[in-house]
Amino acid sequence: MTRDHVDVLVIGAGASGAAVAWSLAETKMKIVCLEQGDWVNPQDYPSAHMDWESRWLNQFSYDPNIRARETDYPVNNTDSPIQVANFNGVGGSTILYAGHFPRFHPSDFRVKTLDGVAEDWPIDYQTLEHFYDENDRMMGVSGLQGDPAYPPKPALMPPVPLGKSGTILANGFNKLGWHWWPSDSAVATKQYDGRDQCINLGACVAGCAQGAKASTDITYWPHAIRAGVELRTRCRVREIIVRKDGMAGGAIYYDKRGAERKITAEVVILACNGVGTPRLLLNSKSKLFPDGMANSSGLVGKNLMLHPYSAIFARFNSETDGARGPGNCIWSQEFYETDSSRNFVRGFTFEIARGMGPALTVARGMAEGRIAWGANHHLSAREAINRITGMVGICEDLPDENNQVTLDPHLKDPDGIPAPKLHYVISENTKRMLEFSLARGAEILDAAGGKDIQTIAPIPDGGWHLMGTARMGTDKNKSVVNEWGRCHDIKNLFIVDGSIFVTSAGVNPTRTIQALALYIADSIKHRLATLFD
Amino acid sequence: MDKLVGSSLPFSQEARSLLRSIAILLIPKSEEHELPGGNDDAIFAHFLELAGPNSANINQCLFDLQKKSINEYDDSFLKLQSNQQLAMLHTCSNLLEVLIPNIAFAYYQDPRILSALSLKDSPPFPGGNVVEEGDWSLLDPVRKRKPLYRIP
Repeated sequence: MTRDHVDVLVIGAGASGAAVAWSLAETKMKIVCLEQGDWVNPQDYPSAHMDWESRWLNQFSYDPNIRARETDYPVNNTDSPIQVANFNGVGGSTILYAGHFPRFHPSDFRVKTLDGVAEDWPIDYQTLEHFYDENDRMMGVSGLQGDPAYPPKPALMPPVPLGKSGTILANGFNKLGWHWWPSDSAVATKQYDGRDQCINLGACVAGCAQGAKASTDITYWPHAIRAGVELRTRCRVREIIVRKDGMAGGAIYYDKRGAERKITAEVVILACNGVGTPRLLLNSKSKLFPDGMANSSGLVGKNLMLHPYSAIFARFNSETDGARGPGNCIWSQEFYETDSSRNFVRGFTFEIARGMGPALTVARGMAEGRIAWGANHHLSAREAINRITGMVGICEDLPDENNQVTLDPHLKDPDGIPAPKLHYVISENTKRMLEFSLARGAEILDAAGGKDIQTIAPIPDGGWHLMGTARMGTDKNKSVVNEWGRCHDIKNLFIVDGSIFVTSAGVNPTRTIQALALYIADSIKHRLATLFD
Repeated sequence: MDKLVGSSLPFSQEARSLLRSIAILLIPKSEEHELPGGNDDAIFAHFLELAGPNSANINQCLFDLQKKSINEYDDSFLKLQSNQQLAMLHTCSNLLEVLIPNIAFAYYQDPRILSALSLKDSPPFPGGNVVEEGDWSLLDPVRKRKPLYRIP
């Protein structure tokens, strides 16, 4: 039997797995990435079909329990007010993300020092700045320089258009004298690295058939594969192998036909997101590691952070963009930094969402009683379609050991591997932040001329950002990985996804996840001779 | 009524008749806007397709509706006057909850409806959409602001 042995095994081909594999490829080490899902054919994306709105909510739902593909694993969300959102396939959740691409701020790495809560990160903004820039070049980021909410940063392409919705709300922000700026977006607004430019399909979160949105299947992976990385799809890892010396030895996985396979490796890198990574570590129990791998601190799975979202929308007399154009438009960080006059610490970002497609507009409106059914239906539907816009507030979630991912004792994926279970409660600080964001959002919509303001908090299916469950730190009793991503307990096991976040900030995490993955890859490359010391 | 549950198909003939009668109540035909109702053949076929995965729940709700109709009017829902049907439907929140999203998605993804509303009547890809660039001078007051971010 041929021995399947590699230098580096990467598990997960999403945002971080793609970045770390690409970066390490220049070492010429033999690198294999195992991905449980498939490549996605862009022609399958909903926006290539007339019934794109219902396909988005079913076959391409970001809820794995609704999508329920063979390549998905179920998640028990019953003990959480917010449900996990993800995608399993080459590109991972970047397939279905909006491409909102903010960076963290310098203050986000010094939460304890500045605000007396949570923990400081063992690295800072300056450490990541070079890797943010490198990642921006690989993903292709559009934006506008000069945002007063950030230190200076490059913009590779012009921003996504302001459009009707952005114009309406920008006027609202200006009336109040509040900050707004065109959103940094992982969307190509002109041709970039073989990708065509955005043509405003408006279905970014259902997958971009145009290929303008930067999902890693079309950004990092083509480069990584050309550089020699082998990517194996439909390979679902059951557990990480432990060698007699306590080091990671590779992985046991199931292939497409369900056959059990073994691959051995000198280095193992986990890139399975903030739920998938603790699930795999907890499923990797052995005599040496009875509580799961890398878990001597007991923190694997703990400190789960999800970013509770508020949503504030209104109806306008003038036309909005509806579903036309990237969902990304403008953001506001007026309430981002801690302000002692508020009843919460830390803050949030407002992200303007242009609007919804006609079917979703009417379905929601009818369900909530704002659009009539029966005799007055057609008139009230016309008053709502392409007349609604608003925003979401993405609230910083602070770490709490009680918020965690465990293994469900009964629920299993199609290969029989125990599924993750969430235990999550929204903190009092975050509840106050959500309330504050709803009130400020309503003020903006009112100033912009909106009527019939609708609010939701939290968005129940909005668990897009999975962070904190194997956090980074210098103290092995208070963290799972060190300051460059290596597990304290196992010196050839690395984690590069959102699990290692110490705090969540109040922005979408993908740009920081990828910058961290590049930084960890760089740290590995610089230490190759002494990597396991 | 027995045929509403336990059918090997998602919806029995009786269930389909009930659903078709409800579809036109929810979204009536409009002469003024020249729009078909929710019971239009193509729209209703799409509706059945969308509702299929939820058929067990829907069939149970239809069974309850029929039972209620017989209790209150001594007749099938299908044979009631439309004002009686509307009155009954108003009291069936569980049924409405499961049917409304499906009828809305079936109706408002039909190219004829979208065209009549002057909306794009083809898939977003490959044609795309036009979104105006907007006036970036709106940013002028924001550009004048001092940095908002903290330096630790």
